[in-house]
Amino acid sequence: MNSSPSARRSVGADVSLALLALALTGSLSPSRAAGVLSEQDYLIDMPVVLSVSRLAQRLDETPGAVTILDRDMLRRSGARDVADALRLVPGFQTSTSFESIAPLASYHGKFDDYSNRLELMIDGRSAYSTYFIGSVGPGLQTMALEDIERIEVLRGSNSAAYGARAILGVINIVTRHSADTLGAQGAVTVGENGVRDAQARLGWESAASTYRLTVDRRADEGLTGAFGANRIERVNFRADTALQAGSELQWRAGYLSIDAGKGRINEVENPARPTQFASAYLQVDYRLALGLDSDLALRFSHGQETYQEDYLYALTNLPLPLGSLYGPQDFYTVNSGGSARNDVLTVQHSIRANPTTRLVWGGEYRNEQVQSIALFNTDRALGTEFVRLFGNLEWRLANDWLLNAGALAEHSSRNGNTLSPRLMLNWHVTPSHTVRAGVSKAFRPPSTFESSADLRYIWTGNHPFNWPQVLSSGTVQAETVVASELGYLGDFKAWHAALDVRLFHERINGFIRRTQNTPVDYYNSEDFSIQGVEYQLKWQPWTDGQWVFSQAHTDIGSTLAGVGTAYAAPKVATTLMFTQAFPGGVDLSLIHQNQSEMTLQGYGADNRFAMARTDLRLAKALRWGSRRGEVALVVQNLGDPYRDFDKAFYFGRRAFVTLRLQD
Amino acid sequence: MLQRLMFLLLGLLLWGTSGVASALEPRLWVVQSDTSLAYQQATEGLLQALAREGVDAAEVAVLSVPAFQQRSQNRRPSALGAASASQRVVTLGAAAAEAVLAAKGDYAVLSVLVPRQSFERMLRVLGKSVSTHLSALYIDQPLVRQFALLRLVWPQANRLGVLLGPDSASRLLMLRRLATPRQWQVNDARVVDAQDLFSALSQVLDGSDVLLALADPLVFNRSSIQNILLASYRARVPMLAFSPAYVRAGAVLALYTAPLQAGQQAGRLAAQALRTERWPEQTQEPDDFVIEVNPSVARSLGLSLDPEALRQQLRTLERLP
Repeated sequence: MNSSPSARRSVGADVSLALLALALTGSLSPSRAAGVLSEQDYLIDMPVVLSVSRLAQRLDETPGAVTILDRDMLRRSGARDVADALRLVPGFQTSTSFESIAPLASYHGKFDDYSNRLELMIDGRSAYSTYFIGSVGPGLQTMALEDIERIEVLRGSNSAAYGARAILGVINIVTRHSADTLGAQGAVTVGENGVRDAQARLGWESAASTYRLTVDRRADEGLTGAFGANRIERVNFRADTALQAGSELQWRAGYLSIDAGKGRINEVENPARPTQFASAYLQVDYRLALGLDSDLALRFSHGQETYQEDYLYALTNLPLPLGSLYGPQDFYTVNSGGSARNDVLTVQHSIRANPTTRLVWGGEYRNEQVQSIALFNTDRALGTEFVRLFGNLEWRLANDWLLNAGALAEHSSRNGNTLSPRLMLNWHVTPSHTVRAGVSKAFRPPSTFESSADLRYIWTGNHPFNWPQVLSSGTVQAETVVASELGYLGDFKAWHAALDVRLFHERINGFIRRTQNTPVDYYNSEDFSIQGVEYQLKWQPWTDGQWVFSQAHTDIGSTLAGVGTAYAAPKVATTLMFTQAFPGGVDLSLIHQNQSEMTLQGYGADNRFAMARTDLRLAKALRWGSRRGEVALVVQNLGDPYRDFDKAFYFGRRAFVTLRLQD
Repeated sequence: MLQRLMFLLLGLLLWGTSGVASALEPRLWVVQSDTSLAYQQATEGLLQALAREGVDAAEVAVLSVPAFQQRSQNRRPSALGAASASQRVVTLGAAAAEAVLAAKGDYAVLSVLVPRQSFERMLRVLGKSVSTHLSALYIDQPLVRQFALLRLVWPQANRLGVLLGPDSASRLLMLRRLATPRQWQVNDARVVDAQDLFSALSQVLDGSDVLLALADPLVFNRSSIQNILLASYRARVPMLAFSPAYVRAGAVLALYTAPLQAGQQAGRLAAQALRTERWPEQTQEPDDFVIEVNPSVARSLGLSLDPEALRQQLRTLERLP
């Protein structure tokens, strides 16, 4: 379209006249021009921002025991990843081994090579591994430590609020809001044992949105005796947009790759070989305040995983006389690779019915697909659908009494229907002393592998064979936990101390286990209880100094002979952490951890080892102009090497230096 | 044609009323910027207070801005006859104040429901100054009162964060002067452009125990409030706001004067002015106020606050009844 020059000129003139008029009226009548202060600023209405679901519960009002590792604690721990930091949580067992893809963390028992009795949430997205039997290991590596605001660990069963898998506890990773990480930041860590970590972050903003992009890698030579170096590389993106009228949109996406090694050199059955794991996720959250006392949250997430692991096995190594049937050119490829994906849609509605009751309810649809010819002997993807309905009522019976009643009803296309209820009562004896008691029931449905594995060695050449190794009969049912607990939370202001105690009894029925014979099957074995007490005392006797003393007494009542389940957790585990900030930005932390003997991965009743580890961290804050930074020296395990994951693997002393800069 | 007829009719009507009113000419005009609830409440408070002081409602004319302009034009010829008597006017809101001050004629004005900054700007633009002929009752709270409340609620805190924009920046000097003797250290950041909000916010929240909100449309508005409240909540830095809307949105606490309270104070000032023929020689700050608490946010932050008790404590401190 072609408008005449004169027309264009007259439009321009109109615009400039209007602008002039606006400028004039603006200067004469300030209240009418947009963006100038008037009484309207005091009188206009505002959208509801801190709606019901945004408000965090106070620690003494949560329906269960919660340990929080905040940013400060994470930094001072000297830990290089989340799994290692979790050893500061009472009742946790952790590993640094990559033998099972990624370092593991478990609560009240390291029962096998996967930790799948905990739920792992990252900003509300369930991040357990669909491919690896629900293990939390790979998911714990999703985020760079620098992007984590805090890790909330709910010690105790919480399926009513977090779904199946939260049968012993929940690790809830909350990442930093992108508005809190604007600007550029980077860190480099170099040290012994091939420690080479690097991280870079960029945060930027537009009028209503903030963004963050973080790229990092974490690399080391791994445990002494274990094969191969470990390298984690990841990219994470987050965008937060404040929309009109109190609604909000968040985007998150990320990619993770873990290159590690497993097995041992010169071992025929378990040879040294590289493993490659990769995962990616996308998460979209929309939150809308429906009013002062009601809001709605919608979430969609997609996750996918791929795994590659194979090695050649010379058939001449087969036991005689079988081995003699094959020639030196007959190599069998042992493969464990495959892929998995999950899509989840969640709707959650939070309502404050009146000042004494708050209700959260909603529904979730989750679709998991696992595909692996190696594990399931089919190229077809095996799917499981979950439909969940959940609700929790928080009812303030009286000013000092709070009741939480919740339930999760789940329908799984593989395992049918389950109902996980929970009841918890919190009593503020005084404003600073709270007693908590409650009971809950939870289920862990068997994973796709546990219920449908068909892992076999098939040779179609000379002297063909077809040997099933793991053959799930599919008869295995969900295992259940009935957990009861008594908790105490005390704040002794006069002594600058706080105490958190949890007395627990967790009754497991139909504990899912592998059979001992080949082919392996999964079955519901014994019923047993895990009971004990754990507590944490925080004490700040002087300025800028803090002592944190944690102890867990755990008794696993498994009686099945020949397995090490009874020693999957140490009878007594103690951690003492001391931190002190000195003038001039010098910061010291000392962590000593001591565990009585336990089996390494729940196997081998006779192979029990105790461990002790002492870490030191000394840091100095740097500042020039508006730029800030820190240089830190960390020495992990000042004492003797201790066994980790396998009796032949040792965690020796590792010293490394980190330089962190921020604009 | 119809329009012209209507106009003629309206003119006749106005002429008629002004003729009748010459004996009962209202001694006080109340000009509202708007007819929305806040202005109605202020008017109601004003009439209540006047009635209590024995001023008859017939002596008060409540006008909209257009009605005022109309009446002001009609008044001019009659005003020639009584040049000495200036018309006493209470304006509610900045728009009404501007209209009255811009009108030709002799008006003695008390500007009510205006923020200090906008009244002062109006004076500058029009080249006028405060006198017994032109005064104001501000809508904003005196800083001294805000400091007193901050201390009552947070006895241990000492780092006060403020986000300043073009309209509130001029208060920094006074803020600093009042802060030091009260054991507060002001941690301020300037927002020059809406784009700077996040950086200013993180700068302020980083080193503050409490955030004091000072009205400034560039800083506090419907689109920024979400980010401000979320960031301050994340940083566990509670905010003292200046209007109940912010408490509803999620600020833990607000200190403000309700329009009804402002109207009542204006009514008392007007009754006095009708007797003395003078508006107060100094601009006035609101003498009554409301404290509002968001109980859910307070609980979540571990604060236990009783708004009525706080109000009484503040009033006692200020030696108010």
